[in-house]
Amino acid sequence: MKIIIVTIFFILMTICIYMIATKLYNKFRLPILNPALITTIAVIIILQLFHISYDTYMFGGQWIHELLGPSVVALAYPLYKHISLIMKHFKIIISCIMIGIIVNIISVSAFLFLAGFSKEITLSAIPKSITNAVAIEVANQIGGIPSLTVVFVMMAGFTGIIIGPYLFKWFNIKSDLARGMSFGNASHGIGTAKALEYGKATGSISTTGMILSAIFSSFLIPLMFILLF
Amino acid sequence: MYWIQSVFTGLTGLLANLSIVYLTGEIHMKKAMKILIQVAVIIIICKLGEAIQAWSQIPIPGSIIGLLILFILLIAKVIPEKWIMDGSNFLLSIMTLLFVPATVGIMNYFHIFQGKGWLLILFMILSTVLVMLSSGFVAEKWGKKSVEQEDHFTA
Repeated sequence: MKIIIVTIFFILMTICIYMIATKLYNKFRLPILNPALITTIAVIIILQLFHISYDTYMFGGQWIHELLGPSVVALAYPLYKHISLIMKHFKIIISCIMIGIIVNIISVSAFLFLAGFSKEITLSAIPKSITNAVAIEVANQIGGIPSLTVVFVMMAGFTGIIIGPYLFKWFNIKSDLARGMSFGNASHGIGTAKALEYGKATGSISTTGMILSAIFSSFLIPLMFILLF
Repeated sequence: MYWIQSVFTGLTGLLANLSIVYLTGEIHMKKAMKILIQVAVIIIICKLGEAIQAWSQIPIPGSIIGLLILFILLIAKVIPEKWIMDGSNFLLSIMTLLFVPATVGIMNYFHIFQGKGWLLILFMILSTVLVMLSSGFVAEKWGKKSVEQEDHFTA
């Protein structure tokens, strides 16, 4: 009985905080007020304040977590809607995504290896440019720590939207295709929200880049893992 | 048995989410029912993907296999778009909520960011910049300069 009450309480608590955070974000439209970020911080503060362990929280949390897989499956719908766009720019989109994935894997592994971080941390960091839901699953697959992966994923997202616009200016990246690909491949969902500010075309390209790079990464990263370790 | 149990878990979680959205007056009852049924279809496809993954032992997340199955079914017109449209859009709109529980787990790993852990932040920023520039350069150099209007769609 006690477990049922705890479960329902944590589900409701998470959803309520999330709805308040969404209202807040819609009002001020500041990227730092990202609803997921605010909700996570609020939940952690509450748990720390009342000395509740993560395992206790997950009695409720797992019910929300359970829908993460289906939400990944739901990405098939926007991908299907973009099929004509993908076919039109097929070669360039695929090459951009492949280069993005390879640069991501090599740069993360090289930096973290040279700095002497543990294998576990490195494996958690490699999926950082994939959209969150898929990154969690890939981290699980290769033996990283999913919670840590999400933090790296968020760092990649915020780096993209804060530094991205300067990069476009300094390196003269002007076309919709290039900007969309940059945001989608490097900064996934958070980047795609920013890409939409550059226009619908950039947003569409970014969505495509995000979904396709997630699919290809989820093939390539475990494959690379098998070959290297 | 495992199947029924996991589909049930997913649906109950969804019900909790939906009821909150419903209570705050953002979705009507009829629409909520429609979303519930469509999401059930998506959950079943997801479980199918996970079952294939468990059976074949290929190192790809089961949900990605599910994504590919749904994508192929849509292209082959086996499943009409309108069967999953509202359900997909709903799931995608609450996607950021769905990974909150996983993210909260970071509270057990704060120590990783102490000491030389700050370097991780620097490396993530550097690597993201490299990915952005490499993808951007390739598209800028060899891609078409503009994307035509009729292609536009945003979820």
